[in-house]
Amino acid sequence: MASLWTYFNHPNFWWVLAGTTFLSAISALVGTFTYLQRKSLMGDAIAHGILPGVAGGFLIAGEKNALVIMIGAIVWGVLTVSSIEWISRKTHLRSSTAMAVVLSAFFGLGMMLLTVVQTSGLPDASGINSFLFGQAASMLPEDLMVYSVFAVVVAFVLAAVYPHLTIISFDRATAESNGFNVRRVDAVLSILVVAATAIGIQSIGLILMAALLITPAAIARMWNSRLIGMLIFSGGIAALAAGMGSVISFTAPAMPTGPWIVLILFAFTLISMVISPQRGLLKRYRQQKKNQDIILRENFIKRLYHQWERSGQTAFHLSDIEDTPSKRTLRYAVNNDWIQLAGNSIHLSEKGMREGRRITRAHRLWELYLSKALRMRDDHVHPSAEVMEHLIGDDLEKELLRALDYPLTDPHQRDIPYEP
Amino acid sequence: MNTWVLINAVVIALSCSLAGAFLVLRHRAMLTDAISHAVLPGLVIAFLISGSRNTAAMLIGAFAFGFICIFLVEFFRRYVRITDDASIGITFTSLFAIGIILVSRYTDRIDLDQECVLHGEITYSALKRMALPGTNWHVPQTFVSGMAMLFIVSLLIAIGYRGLKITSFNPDYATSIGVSVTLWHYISGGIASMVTIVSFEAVGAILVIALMVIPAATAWLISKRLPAMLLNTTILSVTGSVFGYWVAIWLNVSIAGSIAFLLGIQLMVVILVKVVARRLPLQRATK
Repeated sequence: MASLWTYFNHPNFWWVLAGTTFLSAISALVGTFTYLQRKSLMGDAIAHGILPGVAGGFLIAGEKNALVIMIGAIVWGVLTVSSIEWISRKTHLRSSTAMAVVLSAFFGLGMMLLTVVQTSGLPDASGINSFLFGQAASMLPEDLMVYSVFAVVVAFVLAAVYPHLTIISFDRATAESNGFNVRRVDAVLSILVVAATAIGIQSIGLILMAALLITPAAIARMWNSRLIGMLIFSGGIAALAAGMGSVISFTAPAMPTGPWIVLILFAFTLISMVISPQRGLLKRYRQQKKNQDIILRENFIKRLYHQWERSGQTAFHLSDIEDTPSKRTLRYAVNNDWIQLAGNSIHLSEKGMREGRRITRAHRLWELYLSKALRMRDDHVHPSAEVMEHLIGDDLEKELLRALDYPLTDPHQRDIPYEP
Repeated sequence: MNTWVLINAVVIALSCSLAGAFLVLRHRAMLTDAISHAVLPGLVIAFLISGSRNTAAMLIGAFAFGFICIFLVEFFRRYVRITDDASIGITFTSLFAIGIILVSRYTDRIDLDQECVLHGEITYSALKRMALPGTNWHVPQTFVSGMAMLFIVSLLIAIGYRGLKITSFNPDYATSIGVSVTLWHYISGGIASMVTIVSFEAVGAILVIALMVIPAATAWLISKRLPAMLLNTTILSVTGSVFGYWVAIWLNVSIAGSIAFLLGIQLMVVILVKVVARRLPLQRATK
């Protein structure tokens, strides 16, 4: 840790750390709205498309001047957005095709300008590469000030148009039909995306900038179902990833920062995918397991009940039961007083009887309902009832009983058991 | 000597643009963006394992990551319910990031660098030569592999022409007569991925996208029938490559960048001509 400590004492360290976390958080906020409108790849097109602006800004300023490069990037970003818009309006090409076209053509122009910069003999010409993949550690406080001013402006504009953005993100059609100027809000969002891309060019680099617009929003969506929570979460996660990225950038200066930030975000995506409370795989697995347990034990007690119906006996041998129950099912049944277990012999208790009766009743009621109300053939109703018996609760059972007027037998002429 | 660079560029341009035509018709142009970024770690890992620029190893690596890319996109979409475009975006940026980290970490062991990933090495494609079997002719390796790819792509398109055509233009009709749209969806995607991967090394990530998408999109605007569109696609890809090459030599700039940009200029000219033509009184009178 002693070595890490020396970076903390590096004069630029805290500047860069504070700067990159702030810039990334702002970019991620803008990305949340493009995510919700399913325009995520627009960010990728813009990020590639602004390269001529960055290289041109470098050539005009004759050095790595953050302000000129920022202005170049924003001007060219707006040009990128309008070109995509222009192509999809004037031709029958879809906007995704227009995006691929403009992205590659403009990036090609940018590559031409990059080679001009590299052969120009300008001082610091090799520094231009830091804009491609990001080099957080190479940022000076002056650069950071420039980017931060732009980021603050983005934040203010975002706050000002927040209600409008919310409307078009969630109910675009209604907004449109109420005479809301959707296209103007779209234009503002596009300019915000351009600015959000431009402020990240030196910390993340423009090639991977799209990830900062997309990934935090996607992660935030896994944890939140409200917009405000999503915004806070995506901003926070982007700040965290960017902060970790800048630490790496200081410890390994030869490495570009952007890929690390993207990789950290990817790791967060994988972690959230597993543990997030809303859509996490773990949560879904547990839910599935729980449902499976319920079905298994309900089927077990139903089978005992059927055997009792046939024989009138409440004592069984474990080997007499078709589909031998799992230990887990048996343990649950014993703990809940459904059965008494002694060695391999089972005794069905009063409580277990009631449970078996309930499930059998639900099954037969549903069969009768399908047959009577939906006029399904009697030999087609069983499979559906096998599923529904586990889902029919007290309320639905009451409704079925009322609808069928308290029937006595099911379509197969078996008794529908009532509580004695 | 430099003629070979131009010839290589044209050969690669031909196969890319032909394979791209069916992607553009299916509105899947951004797929090339995803694949051309996602295969990078495969190339680097293959390079590290085989210890050389072994074409076979790099192809296997690239294909493996092409599949990982498709799998991850599908996984995020289906099981994590991330929106379509976002799952594409997350996947290819992450894979590309892994590739870039590997490139910069092992930069001393690989003769790939961050820039060459973007620009490709078309300039050096004339240098590595091989003898044509049975003759004394020494031609660049890139030319041989490019011609092989062009042959395979043309053959696949010729064999699958009917299926590709019907599923591109009228998927509903295709389904109704029992042609599997999904199957041809994967075949067209597969051809495009193969071309992307083979061309990536020579022309870099960006020019692959430009070559696959722009000539086909341009040709679509000026052609009424598929054969004409395919012909126009190939012509436009050749003119774009030749002009782009000349401009690059003339201004001494990146060849890959210049070709990509010139392809874009061609498209812009076509759109402008169409827009102006629409406003001419002559056209209005004939309508």
